[in-house]
Amino acid sequence: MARREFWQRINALAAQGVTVLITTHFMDEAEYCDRLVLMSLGEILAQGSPAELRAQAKSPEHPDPSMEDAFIKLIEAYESQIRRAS
Amino acid sequence: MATETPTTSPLRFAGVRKRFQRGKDAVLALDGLNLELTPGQVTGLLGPDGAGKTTLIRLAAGLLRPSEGKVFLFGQELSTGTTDLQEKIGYMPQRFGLYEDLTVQENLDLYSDLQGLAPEQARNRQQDLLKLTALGPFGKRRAGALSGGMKQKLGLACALLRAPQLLLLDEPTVGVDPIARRELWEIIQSLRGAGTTVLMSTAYFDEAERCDAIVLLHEGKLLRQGNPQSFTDPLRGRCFLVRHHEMRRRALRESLQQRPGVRDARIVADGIRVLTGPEPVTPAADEQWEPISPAFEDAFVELLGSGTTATVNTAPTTTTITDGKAAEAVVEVEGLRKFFGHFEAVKSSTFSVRRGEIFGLLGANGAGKTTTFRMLCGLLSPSAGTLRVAGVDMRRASSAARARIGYVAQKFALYGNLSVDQNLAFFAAAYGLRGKQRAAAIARVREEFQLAPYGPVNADNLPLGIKQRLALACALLHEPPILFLD
Amino acid sequence: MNSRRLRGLIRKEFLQILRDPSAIAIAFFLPVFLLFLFGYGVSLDARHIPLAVVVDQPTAETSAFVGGLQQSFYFAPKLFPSMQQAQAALMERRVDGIVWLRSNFSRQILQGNTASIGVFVNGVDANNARIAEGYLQGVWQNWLQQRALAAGHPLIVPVDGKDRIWFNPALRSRDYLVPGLIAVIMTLIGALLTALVVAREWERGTMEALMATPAQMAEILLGKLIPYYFMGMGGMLLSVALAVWLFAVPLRGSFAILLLASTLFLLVALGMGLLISSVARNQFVAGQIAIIVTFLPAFILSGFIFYIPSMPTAIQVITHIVAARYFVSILQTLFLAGNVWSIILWNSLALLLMAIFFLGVTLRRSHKRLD
Repeated sequence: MARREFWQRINALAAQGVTVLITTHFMDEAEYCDRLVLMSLGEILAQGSPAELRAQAKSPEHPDPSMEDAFIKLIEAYESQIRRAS
Repeated sequence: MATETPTTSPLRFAGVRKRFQRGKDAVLALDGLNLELTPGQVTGLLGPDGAGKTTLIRLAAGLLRPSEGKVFLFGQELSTGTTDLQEKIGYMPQRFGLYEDLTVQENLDLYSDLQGLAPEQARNRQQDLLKLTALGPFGKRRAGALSGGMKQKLGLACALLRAPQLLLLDEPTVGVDPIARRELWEIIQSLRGAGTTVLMSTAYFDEAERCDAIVLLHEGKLLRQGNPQSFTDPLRGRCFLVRHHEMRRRALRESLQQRPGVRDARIVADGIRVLTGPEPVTPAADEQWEPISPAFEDAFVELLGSGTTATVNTAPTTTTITDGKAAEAVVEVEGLRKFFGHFEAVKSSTFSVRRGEIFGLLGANGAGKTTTFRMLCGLLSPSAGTLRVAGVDMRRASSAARARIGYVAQKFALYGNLSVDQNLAFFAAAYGLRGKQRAAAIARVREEFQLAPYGPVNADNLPLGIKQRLALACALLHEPPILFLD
Repeated sequence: MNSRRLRGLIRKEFLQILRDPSAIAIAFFLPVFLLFLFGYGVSLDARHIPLAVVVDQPTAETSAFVGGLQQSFYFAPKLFPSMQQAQAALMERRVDGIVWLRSNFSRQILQGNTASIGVFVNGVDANNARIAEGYLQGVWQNWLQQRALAAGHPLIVPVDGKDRIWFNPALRSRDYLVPGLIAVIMTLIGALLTALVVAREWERGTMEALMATPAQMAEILLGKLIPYYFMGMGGMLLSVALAVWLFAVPLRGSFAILLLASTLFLLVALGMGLLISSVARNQFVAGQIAIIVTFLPAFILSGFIFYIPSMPTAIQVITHIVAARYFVSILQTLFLAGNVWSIILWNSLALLLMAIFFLGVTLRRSHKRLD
């Protein structure tokens, strides 16, 4: 509940021209952002609009991934790649 | 042939009231609660902040005694045989309750002893749980050095050592990144087969939908109990996905939210999700309304209201700071790096943020988000790279840039023992506002954030939502063009 | 009571003690530091007190007296040409006192065997001032007596005191400070450290998780009592060893009685520590309370530094509720006098009653609940 009111206020501020930078764990909240960066192990894995990020995680099995699916997929792919490399 | 024996409920509340003394006032946290859990089910406990979820779970764990009414565990009244009954339950508090200075293994050993497991039994059980939680390789690591998600898994493992018949979890997934959250859920789901009854509070609506039953609390009362479908079914035909060809999602949401007949409008992946009242709403021109199936969040809003019925003074929603081309970049980051000793916490990051944009930083715990954030706010100095905020080079004149930003931390940095008005006055002074300017700034945020009724209340005693408002108000006193929310 | 649960809790506590530098610091470094401070640094004896001597009219008599001062172990006299300069030195604390031999000194002496001298002491440090004054008085009387004897007729003094000092013949303050310090050290470990570690469990939320397990309250309390009992006794043994072997303080009484009395006192301290943490559930407040109600009284009101019979009556009454008072009395007796049963038994009884009171109240007040 508090989060809803919070986002309503953030939206209002952005509409007035205030730039807002936010970190969040709530993936549905990521949809409220205009653009995102996704970080893992100190590195930026992806950046763009929520739709662009979701599109990066698209696969035949998951034609329409949620932001959470995209998050998990991109991070797991990256971390396993790091592990292989080391 | 399986016979249906009338099983006693693992947890039953009968007319439970719980009062707390908070200073001079008595707060009624639970108000005549009647509740019964079905054995073997995962029950989700939901409700707004301050609805009484934690109190309910603590009463069930025998940590609190009801002011009135009775709590029964497996048919036995709790106050009579607390220690015996506690052998049947596993409890995980909201705050990490394990010893951070002990290792993973030492914590497991302690809890095995406390649960009275014989050494052989303890070893086998610990092995199983280490496998289940994938904590095996971290046995020698101090619990304090684990990530947030790993800590929660260790807490869960300790609560599961004696294979409890009733598992009580207080927001086990809060503050945990999505990967760890999914793993925690897999563990909880696996308990279903073992016949464990689970009661867990959660702030995530998608988790509610995965539960067998939902208990919805509001102001200490049971608002409704049932399976997730029983919550969403009445809303069939009232949920829509709305799209617009030109309008940006945020602007579209604002316009929909204020339309008569619309109960709630929220941004989702493909557009705006709208919940209407029972009366149909006619779409405006250029809008596509597509019926969709209701989700638990819709039911939550329907039962409790959207919480913000037109309380926010929004600027004209048609403001067109469109497509960014016109708007200049206010945050420019290039090749930003940060070392802590040999550890590279942030590796060569490059991005920019334009004026009026909402820019999100996502990542698992320990991904470098907070470090990046602190460099942007001028709280940490970068090891390499360029960093310009509001046109100011943060490496040279961070204090100049700091006057142009507002910062709200996760744990609001308010002075708990100062009143709302005193907090505002303090922060106004801290931002260098004086005299008339200060009075005007305070009056402005007091009105904008509807803080006037709370003026003399100490920040510690505010409900969470109001606390959040106050934290935002304090960060916006000096009208910063850039706002950081961590 | 379940021995496995209790063992688990005790093992956990020891692991935490080993990993927590602050626990080790309070239990071992602080005692050693205090012992060294009081053993070497702080001394309540007045020795080589810097003294200004002003002689208005030097004569054979004045130089004889000043010579007497110079030979005294207690003073380091320095001649000043005028009272003004001596006063300035006193103000600047270059000297702690002034002895003024006026111009009529020799005449008085020669006429009637006696004279008056002016003595000024710096009263800022009242303790030191009183001691200096007393010593000066002694030196003066002594000198007059010797003169009278030399002249062949005894000096008439109302009472001819003959002092004999028992138990601490050398009057070394170290010998009674160091045993008393053991009470202070055990208070630190028993009450302060225990209050802090229990409050820390509340603060970090580990107590909440502990209370939801089948562990009984008595087990949780014993799980704290036992480890810190051993810590406290360890601190005591360390202090006794340093006292006896390093500072050569005699231990005339029985070691077994020392162990027993220490156990009683430690139980009181632990009871107070646990009680404090059941009232104050955060470390800062618990620490403040523990220092105010246990550590400071043990320091000031126990007879460790300040002699109880010379305190105002109201304060003397208050000292009866300070457990350290009884223990300090036992300690000083055991170390300096030996097994004086009348003192040991009564004080031990007082400690026993206090231990029962504090542990009993703690057990009654502690519930496995958060409210």
